[in-house]
Amino acid sequence: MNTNFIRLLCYFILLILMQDMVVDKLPLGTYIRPEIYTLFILLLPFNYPPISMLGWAFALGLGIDIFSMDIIGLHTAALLVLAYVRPRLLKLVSPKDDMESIATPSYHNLGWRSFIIYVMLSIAIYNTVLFILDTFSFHNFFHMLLRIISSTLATTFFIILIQVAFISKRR
Amino acid sequence: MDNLFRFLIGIRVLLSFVILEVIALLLFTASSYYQQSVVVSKLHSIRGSLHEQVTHFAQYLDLRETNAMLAAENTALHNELACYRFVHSTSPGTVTNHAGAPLFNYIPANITDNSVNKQHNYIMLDAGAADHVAPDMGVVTQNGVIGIVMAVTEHYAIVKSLLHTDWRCNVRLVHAGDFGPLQWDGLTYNEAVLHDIPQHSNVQTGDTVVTSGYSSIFPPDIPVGVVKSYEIKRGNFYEIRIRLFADFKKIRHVNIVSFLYRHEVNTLNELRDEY
Repeated sequence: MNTNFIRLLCYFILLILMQDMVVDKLPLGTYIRPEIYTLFILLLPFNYPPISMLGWAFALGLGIDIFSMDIIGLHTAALLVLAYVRPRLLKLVSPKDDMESIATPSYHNLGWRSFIIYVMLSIAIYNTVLFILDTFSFHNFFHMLLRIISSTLATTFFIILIQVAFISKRR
Repeated sequence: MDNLFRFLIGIRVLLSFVILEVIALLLFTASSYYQQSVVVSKLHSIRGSLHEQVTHFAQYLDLRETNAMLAAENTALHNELACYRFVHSTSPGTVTNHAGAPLFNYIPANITDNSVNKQHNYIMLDAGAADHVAPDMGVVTQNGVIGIVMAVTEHYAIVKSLLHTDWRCNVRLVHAGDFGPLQWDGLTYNEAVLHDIPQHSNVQTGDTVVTSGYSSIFPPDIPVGVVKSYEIKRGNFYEIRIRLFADFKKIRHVNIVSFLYRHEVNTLNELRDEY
């Protein structure tokens, strides 16, 4: 448990730094922001305790808020929602017996179709909360919708890319 | 009571979610206050130094492009500086008469047409009578004598190039101190021949040749070239090959030398001829 915690802490720091130092510096324009740090919540093991997951989400959100110099609480609130709905989404896309597994969700154990649906749905929910809080009005609804869709697609693409390139090879 | 505990344990995930979410939203609405807190500002300063490192690294990645850009800019500035330096070092203020008044004025011009491959080469300039250019004015660059104005129109001037086998320019050897006419022999565009230097003169290869100033055409001490080789011809005189500083294939900008008292000198010369 302890080594597992330290391993997660390393990922945690690495993802925040990657987001701030690399991904946010990509010249992608105002509509697209790949949020690779959501990977942390999405790829926790199937059976990870929900309350611990909420704790991680809270810490990760604060870290991102502070590091991206955004409004404090913005990413925190959105990530908490993501962490809360994650078990329900997993239940939706995976067979029941997987939920007891210590494995992490991947295209190996979920299959490509279910994995992409899982990632995309999660990120869509996350982005919806994030952008509604960020805009704090429905004034430019179409504008906001466009940002939600483009960022969701970009984030899904990046997360699958990272999983294929780095994470699944190790296993 | 047991039932209440059981109920709370049953919704513990939802409960923690709601509590944390409320905290997040409270932070969110009171954000400006927390932004100014010590911890946040400390973290921002750490982030700032991290970003500096990343920027340093990123700068390495496009060094090649930056180098090319700087080199181009450097060349442009060098060219500009050379023009200014020339104008400054040989500016009218440095060549003055006994009373300290300037003797020469400079008119900048661009070369519009030039050749080096004939025996009688001419240069066209984009300055003319409207710019107070007149025939018999000298044309120079920072690298030496270019030629002499032959004729002008309103906006253009035609210049007899130094690379014109019929034209002579009076120059001086800096160390030996002797004067003589410099003339192009028509062989290569970066060499000319200095005639009429007496045999007793202390000619050395590498000696610099400058304009003599014994005319109302060129100011004195404009560098022209260096002695490349010399030999005795026609009995008592050296024939000295001079490698010219000016690259006649590359010159673009020149200055036309206007001697401010040329009318007085011409009048005196005419009076002399009358007597």
